[in-house]
Amino acid sequence: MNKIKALYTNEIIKILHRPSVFIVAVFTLVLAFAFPFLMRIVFIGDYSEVFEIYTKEKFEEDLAGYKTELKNANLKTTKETVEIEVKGQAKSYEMTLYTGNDIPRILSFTNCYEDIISKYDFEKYPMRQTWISLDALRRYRSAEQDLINMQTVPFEERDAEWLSTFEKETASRDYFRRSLFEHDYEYYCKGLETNAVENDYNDPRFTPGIIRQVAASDPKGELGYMEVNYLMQYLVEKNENQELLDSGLERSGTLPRILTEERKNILANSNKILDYKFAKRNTFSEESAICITVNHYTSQVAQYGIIVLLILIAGSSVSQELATGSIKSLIIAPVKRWKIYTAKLLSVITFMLLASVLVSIIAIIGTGIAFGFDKLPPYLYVSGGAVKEMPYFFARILIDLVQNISVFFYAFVAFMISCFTKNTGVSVGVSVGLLLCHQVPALIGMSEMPPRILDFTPLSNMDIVNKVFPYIKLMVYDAESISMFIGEGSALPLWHCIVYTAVLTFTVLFIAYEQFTRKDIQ
Amino acid sequence: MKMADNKQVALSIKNITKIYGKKVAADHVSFDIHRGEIFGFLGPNGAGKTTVIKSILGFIFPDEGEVFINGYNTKTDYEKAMASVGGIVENPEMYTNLSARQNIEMYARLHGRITKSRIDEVISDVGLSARSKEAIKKYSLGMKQRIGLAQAMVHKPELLILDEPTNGLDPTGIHQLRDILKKYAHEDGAAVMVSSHILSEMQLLCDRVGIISNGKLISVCTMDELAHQMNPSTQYSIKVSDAAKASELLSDNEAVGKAETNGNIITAEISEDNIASVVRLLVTGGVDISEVHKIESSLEDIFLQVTGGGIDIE
Repeated sequence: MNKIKALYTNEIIKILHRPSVFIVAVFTLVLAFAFPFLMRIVFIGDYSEVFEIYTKEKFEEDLAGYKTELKNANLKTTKETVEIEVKGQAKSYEMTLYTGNDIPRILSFTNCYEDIISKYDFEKYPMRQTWISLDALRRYRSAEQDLINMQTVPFEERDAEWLSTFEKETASRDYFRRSLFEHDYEYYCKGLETNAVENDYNDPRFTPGIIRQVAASDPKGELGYMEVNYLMQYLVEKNENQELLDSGLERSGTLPRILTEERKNILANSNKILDYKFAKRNTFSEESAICITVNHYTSQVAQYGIIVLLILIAGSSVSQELATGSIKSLIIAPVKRWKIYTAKLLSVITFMLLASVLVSIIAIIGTGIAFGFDKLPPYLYVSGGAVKEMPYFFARILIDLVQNISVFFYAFVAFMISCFTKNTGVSVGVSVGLLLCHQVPALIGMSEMPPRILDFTPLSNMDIVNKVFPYIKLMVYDAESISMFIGEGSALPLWHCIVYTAVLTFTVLFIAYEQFTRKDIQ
Repeated sequence: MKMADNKQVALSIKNITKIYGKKVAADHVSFDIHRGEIFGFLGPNGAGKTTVIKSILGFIFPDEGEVFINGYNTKTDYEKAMASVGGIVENPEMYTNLSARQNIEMYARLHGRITKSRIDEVISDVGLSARSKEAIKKYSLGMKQRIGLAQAMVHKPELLILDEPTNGLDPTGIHQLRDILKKYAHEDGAAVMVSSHILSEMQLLCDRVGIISNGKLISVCTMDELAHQMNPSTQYSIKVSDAAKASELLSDNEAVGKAETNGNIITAEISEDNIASVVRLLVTGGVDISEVHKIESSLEDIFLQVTGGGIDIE
């Protein structure tokens, strides 16, 4: 044991004194620190987005603008009595026809703002960044716009169907108006339920049912715009998970796949976490999403530095000593070959862990300084049936370690090759070549092919972040952008991936061991 | 398993054989080296010197045979056996980014229980105290040889094996090395094994010598024995007044072997026991003798005779 310790100490000293290692290490750390600042410049537009707040003065100012526009719009209002046959009975209706340029937009805004300025109680319901203020106003305006748009249809084209839609949309508009005027979710829901005109504002996932659940936790309408959006998102996701659990199937590429027990468990736990987040109003700002995305990107970019660094260390571990002949002073020393091998391997593993952890820490510090440490959300997971929080800092370090498993494997391969050759260039080159080959199937879109060939290619099974940290996507609202670079990973269960990776790694290290301990050193 | 204790034997190798493809690099090589002696391992380039040394030091695994160091078999008690060995194989390759001191410290760490003052001592012994903190890459070959020697001796090994140690050393360096090794063997009682293809060095340094050629150990003996064994008859040159008469007198004499005449000097093979009677014969036969000179046969001659060439003569 003492001999291994001495050998290990020597190995660390040797690695630390190599200029190439030093340069790559410094470059990687600087990259990890500086990258968030570059991203900060890229994201600055989105990051500082603030929703406009409407005060009475602002409405008056805007109204004046719309009135000027209206003057130039050649608005003509024609009133007529129109007969429409409804259920076999002809009835007379007083109707209006609007003609002119861009009338629906200009007139609806004019009408709404006049209404709000004259009748809205700004003292009792101040307009703030609350969801109900902002969204009810938006809905009220759009329903009014839909109605005016309908009244640009010529009288002779108006029929029973038009009439029915017009009546429903009028009711909807009135509900939305009331929802705004009283900051009331329930009228908002009724507005949605009577809404008759499809338009861009309708996100079909945010159903009245979901909004009512949010309303129950925000009876006074005080929650912010993004906050309510997140809460609704949680409920939507929860419903989607529940649907998968109920059907027992999920989509995999283009094919449906039966849910495994592992996946069912993850979905059920995800719902627990969503409930937890909902109950705690554990929502994060847009900044959080950007911040965590930037941190992800930084880890991803710095990973290339880690790859080069580790392949350089592992790939030259033995070959460099063979090439320069410095191995002689190791062989002459009273230590068995397997001890030399073990010390070398341990030193490589030390640098693997050190590089990964150090880069994670530096990346978090960089991101924290660039965006604010408070923006980094905890990782939520379920243990013993209860939801637990893990601070972002620790979670990130662990996530990066797991994400670097494949990098570690490349380094082991480089280590193995370095036991075969005197040429460090060969061991480093071949390992980098393997790394590039690994990405070929993904590049040519094999991951989309059924059956999933990638499930059975060696290295894809090392992508297990999603399995070890299945709730990573719940860290932020913006799950899509994160899944983009975490990837879906293998479809096979976690234990399979772990056994696969372990067997492969053991094989590589065993070949290296055999080669190193049994070969003659010339 | 420790071999039966023979306090005098530091290294014992038995039947070391190593075959590379069709080439037999070492063919059943066996010899012992004793404490207090400097053993020269002599042979032309490619004779198998380095193969045998690498087998002793654990670089290569011989196909056959065993190595005992201090009685410990290197196959079964590798670390115990190697604990009392120091050596340099071919050139002393070190970690060039590290300083000489760091290199020696790293090596010392693998032996354990070596004090800082001992490290200072060996560095000063080889005369590199002033530059011990410089990176090895700034060193000349001669300096590397010296620091290699310091490293090889830092743990006071009972067996010191040096493969071609004078490579790159200047005459002063070679002289110093010789002094260090002689002191180490004769005063400190260690066994020293030195390989070389340079005869003159061996003559000045070694007590005993093993000659290897084409993988086979041809002879192991002391320097004197070697000279004697290979050439029992001695040559004498005799300066005479009348060469023709002298050669006529000698041609019939049984004590005289091959004789050559060059001017008035006769060179003839005459054993030491017979020289007096030969001189008497010439004088009584009326030939005046102005000079009798014994010609020592050099080791080179012997070696060329034994190995058929391939030795550098300096």
